[in-house]
Amino acid sequence: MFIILYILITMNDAINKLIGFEIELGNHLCQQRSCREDDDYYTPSSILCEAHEDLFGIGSKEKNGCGEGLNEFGTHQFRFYPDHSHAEISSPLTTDAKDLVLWQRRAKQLALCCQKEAAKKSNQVLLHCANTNRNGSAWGFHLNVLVSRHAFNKWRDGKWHPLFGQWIPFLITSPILFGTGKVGTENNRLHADYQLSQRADFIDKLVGLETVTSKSLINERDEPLADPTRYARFHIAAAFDFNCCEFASWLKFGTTQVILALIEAGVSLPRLELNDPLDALSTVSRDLGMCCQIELADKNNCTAIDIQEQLAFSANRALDRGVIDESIVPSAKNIINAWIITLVQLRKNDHMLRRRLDWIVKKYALDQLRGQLKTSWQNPCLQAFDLKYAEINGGWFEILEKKHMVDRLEDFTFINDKANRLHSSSRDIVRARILEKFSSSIVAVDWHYLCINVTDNRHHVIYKIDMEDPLNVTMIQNAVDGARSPKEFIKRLPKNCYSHIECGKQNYSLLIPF
Amino acid sequence: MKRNKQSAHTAFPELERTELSEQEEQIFNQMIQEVLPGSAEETQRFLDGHRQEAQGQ
Repeated sequence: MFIILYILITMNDAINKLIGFEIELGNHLCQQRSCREDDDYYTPSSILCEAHEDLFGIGSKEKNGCGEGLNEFGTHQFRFYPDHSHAEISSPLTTDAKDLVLWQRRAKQLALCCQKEAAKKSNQVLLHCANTNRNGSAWGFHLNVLVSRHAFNKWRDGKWHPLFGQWIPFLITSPILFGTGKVGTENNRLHADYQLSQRADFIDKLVGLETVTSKSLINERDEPLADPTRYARFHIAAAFDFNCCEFASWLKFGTTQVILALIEAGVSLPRLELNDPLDALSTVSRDLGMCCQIELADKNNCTAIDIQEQLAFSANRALDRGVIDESIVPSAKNIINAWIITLVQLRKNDHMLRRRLDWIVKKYALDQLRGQLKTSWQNPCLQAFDLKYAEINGGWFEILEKKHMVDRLEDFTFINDKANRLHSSSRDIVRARILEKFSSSIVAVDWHYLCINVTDNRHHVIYKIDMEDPLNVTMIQNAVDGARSPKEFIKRLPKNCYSHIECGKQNYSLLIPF
Repeated sequence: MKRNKQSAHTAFPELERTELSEQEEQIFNQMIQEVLPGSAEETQRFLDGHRQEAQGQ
C-alpha cells in the first residue's frame, strides 16, 4: 500500500515528446567558380546557404535588410543555415518517430537541391551525412526533445545524476542498434579494425556545454525556444550517429522518446548506472560480438544487449500499466516491440538485420570488398569506401536502397498517409503558412517568434508574434487561415499573442530589437 | 572489461559471405565497382579532400 502511494507521489506527468533533428552536413568544396565580384572566398556552407536562399528565400534580401533568420527558414518548414564552415539543417518538430524519418528523407532531398543549385554556378560541393572524416574532424547529428521545465530543472539541479541510471546506459549501449559503423579509429583512441560507432572516439565527457573542442553525452544547454516557464529542450548533441537506414533512424527516434518520457514521468526503472561510462562506450563500440561484460556501479556485470533488454522490457511493462501512452509517444507499442525483437535478432545473429542496421549493412559490404581485394583493414581504400557510404548524390547506401537491399519505412511500419505527407507540430505548420502568405512583410523569424511589418499610409509598425507554445498555436492558426493581408492577420489575433513596435517612416530593418 | 566466455551470441564478428544469396552478392559487387575509387592515387585524393573540411560539433 505504502509502496503504491510512494510511486504515485513521486510520479509526474510526461509531456508530449515532440522531437526534431539537426544534421551537420559534412561538406567539401570540390570546385569553386574562379571569381566573384564582391567576395573572393566562399566556404562550402556559404555556397550552400546562398543556393538555399536562391531557391527558398523569403521576400527580397534588399527589401528586408538583415532580418534575423529570414532566409534560413522556408515554407518547407526546415531551417537551413551556416554553422562555421558546414551547412546545417534543422527539422521541424514532430511527435511521431515515423514522421521524423520522413523529414530526414526530405532533409536529404533539400541538401541535394541546394547542391544542384550551387553547381549551376560552377560551385561543386560534395555532401555527406557521415559523422567523421577519419582525420579528427566530426560532425553531429543532434536530436532535440521537448521535456517539461519541471523535469529539466530536476535533472540539472541534481547535477544530471537522475539520468545516470538509465539514460546514460541507454546511450552507451546504443551503438549496437544505432551505430553507423566505421573503419578504424580516430582521435588517438584504442585501435580497432572496424567499430560500431562513428562518434564514440570523440566523446570525452559525461556532462558539458562545449560542443566543438569537447563532446559530452549530456549537453547542458538550456535554450527552450519556447515558453521557458513550462518547457525545456533536451539537446542530445553528440551521442548519436546519423543513420542512413530508416529502420535504425525510426528506432533511435522512438526509443529516445520512450526512455525520456519514462524518466520524466518518474517511472521506476532498473538502476543500470555504469562504473566507467566513457570506457564502456569505447568497449561497446569495439565489441562486434556484443559479448563484453560492462561493469555497473554496483559491481555487477552485464553486456550491452542485457542493458538494452532491461530498458526495453521495463518500457514494455510501463506501457502495459498505462504510465505512458500513445498520446505522449505515438506508436509506442510498435516502437517497444521492434526494440525487443531487434535485440532478440542481435542475440540470434539474425542476418535480416543487414537490411536494418547501418553498422551491419556496412560490415557486409566491407567484408565483400575485402574479399575481392584480398586486403587488410589498413588499406586506405576501405576508408574511402566507408566515407562514400553516406554521401548525398552518389553514396553507396543510396545504391543499396534503390536495389531494395535495405528496408525503407514503408517496409516496417504501417503508414496511413501517403509517404510524402509530412506531419509536424502545429507551430511549424503555422510558421510556414505565415511565410507562405505574407512573405514580403516578414522581417524576422525564429522557432518561437516571427516579426511582421504592417504598413498603413507609409507608417510602419512591426508586430512580434509569439509562438511560445509548440504544442498549441491554434489561435494564431485560426487568424492566419482567414486573413488576406498582414493587417487583417494582426487584427484577427488575440491581443496576448503579439507585441508591437512603432517604427514611423524609418527604415524598420534597423530597429528590430530581438 | 571481461569477455563473457559463456555467451552464446557472437553476432557479426566475421560475417560469412555465404550468407548472401547469389543475387545479393552480385548487387554488392556491382555497387562496389560503381563507387570504388579506381586507383591508389584517386583514393588518396578523395581522402585528402575530406581532410580539408573543418571541424563540426
